[in-house]
Amino acid sequence: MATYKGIQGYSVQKLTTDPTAADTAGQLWYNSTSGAFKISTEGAGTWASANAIPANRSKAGGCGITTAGLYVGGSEPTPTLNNALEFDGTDWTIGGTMNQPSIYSTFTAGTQIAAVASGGYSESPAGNKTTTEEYNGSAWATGNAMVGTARDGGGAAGIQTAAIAFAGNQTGTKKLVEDYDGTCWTAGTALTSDHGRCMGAQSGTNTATLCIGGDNAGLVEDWNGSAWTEVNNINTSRQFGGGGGTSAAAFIVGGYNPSPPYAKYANTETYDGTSWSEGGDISAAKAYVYAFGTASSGVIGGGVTGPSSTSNSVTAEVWTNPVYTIKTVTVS
Amino acid sequence: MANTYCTATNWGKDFFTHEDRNNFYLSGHPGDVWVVGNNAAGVSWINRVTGTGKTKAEAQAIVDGKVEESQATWDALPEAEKAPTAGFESLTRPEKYILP
Repeated sequence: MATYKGIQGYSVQKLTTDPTAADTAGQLWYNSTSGAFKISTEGAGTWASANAIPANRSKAGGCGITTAGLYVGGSEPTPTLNNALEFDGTDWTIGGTMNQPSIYSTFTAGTQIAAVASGGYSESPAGNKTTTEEYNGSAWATGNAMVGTARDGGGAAGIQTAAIAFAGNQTGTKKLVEDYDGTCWTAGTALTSDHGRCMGAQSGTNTATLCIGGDNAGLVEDWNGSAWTEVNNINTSRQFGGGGGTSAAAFIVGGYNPSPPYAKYANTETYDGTSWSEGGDISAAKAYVYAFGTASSGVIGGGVTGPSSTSNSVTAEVWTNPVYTIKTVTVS
Repeated sequence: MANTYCTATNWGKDFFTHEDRNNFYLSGHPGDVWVVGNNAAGVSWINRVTGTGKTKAEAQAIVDGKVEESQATWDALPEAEKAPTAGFESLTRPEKYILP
């Protein structure tokens, strides 16, 4: 009788319990407890359901990581919100209330316990803002305002003491950039093209991030700390969706087409530093939503799932890429 | 038949897992309607979430009803809120669509 060792040249381990799937991708073993051969496989990235956010919310600025994420403000759809929403990897908790009465689509960077949120749109009084607020994990403090034109819906990256804010919807040019040193905003190096409400890679740094899509044909620009360089376009042109990661490894998800009939999307695209590839879809198309996290682990919550502002969502999903799974080998 | 249909309430974490998403097609729609890939893993998921099986026509009727509710909500909004706004162009009156 042929043996595995005879065919492959090495033995199959006998284990009483399965090892961690991520640590054993591609390996085969025999589980003596269940009496079955097992194999660990590496699959494509997918979205899994997460616990719902406490109430309808869209257009909330986002930052942080999967186990310590932060949403800022947002729209339900009206009136707009002014509090933080924190995620611990499992559950959502309402955080501190901002000093301004309402805000959404802020430029948000940092972590759950040290974030900066600037600009955005407020309903009272209505209009784009330049205001800045800083979060310490429990309370918001007012900071110095942005120096350029009031705007909302752009991208941001970095930490509370070294952040960059780029693009956004405003009158005139949509490629302005500002840098934050923890105290003041200063004008930065402008993007080469207009982006408007881009798909921000919210977890990059102030010296390495991406400005993705927006109200253009899916243009992507890479920031290396001194210059913006156009890199490969995303496959599906879109704006106002979620993103996470760095300039070397990122994902985007959701959003809507900037051209009529403004289709919303459920698909994910992943970036490896050079090109964009299709990833798994979220369960329903949604736009007007931010995400947070890394290329391998991200979160998207709320947003507008339907065709109108009357269809705000409470659903949340968690992104994992790749997905490791232990499977039982069927022998006959 | 490529897809099967059910209603089920998304309870959050583990309602569908990463492994589920790699094993069968899944998409969510208004009215807690789910379109599920018609394979063994998909059918097993419907059982796991205590889904109620629907024909495509039944599922489509539920979605249509929810879209009609959203249309009524939209129609009742003040005209100012329904006017197209720069950057929010896709917020328009809900329209019916065909399930996959």
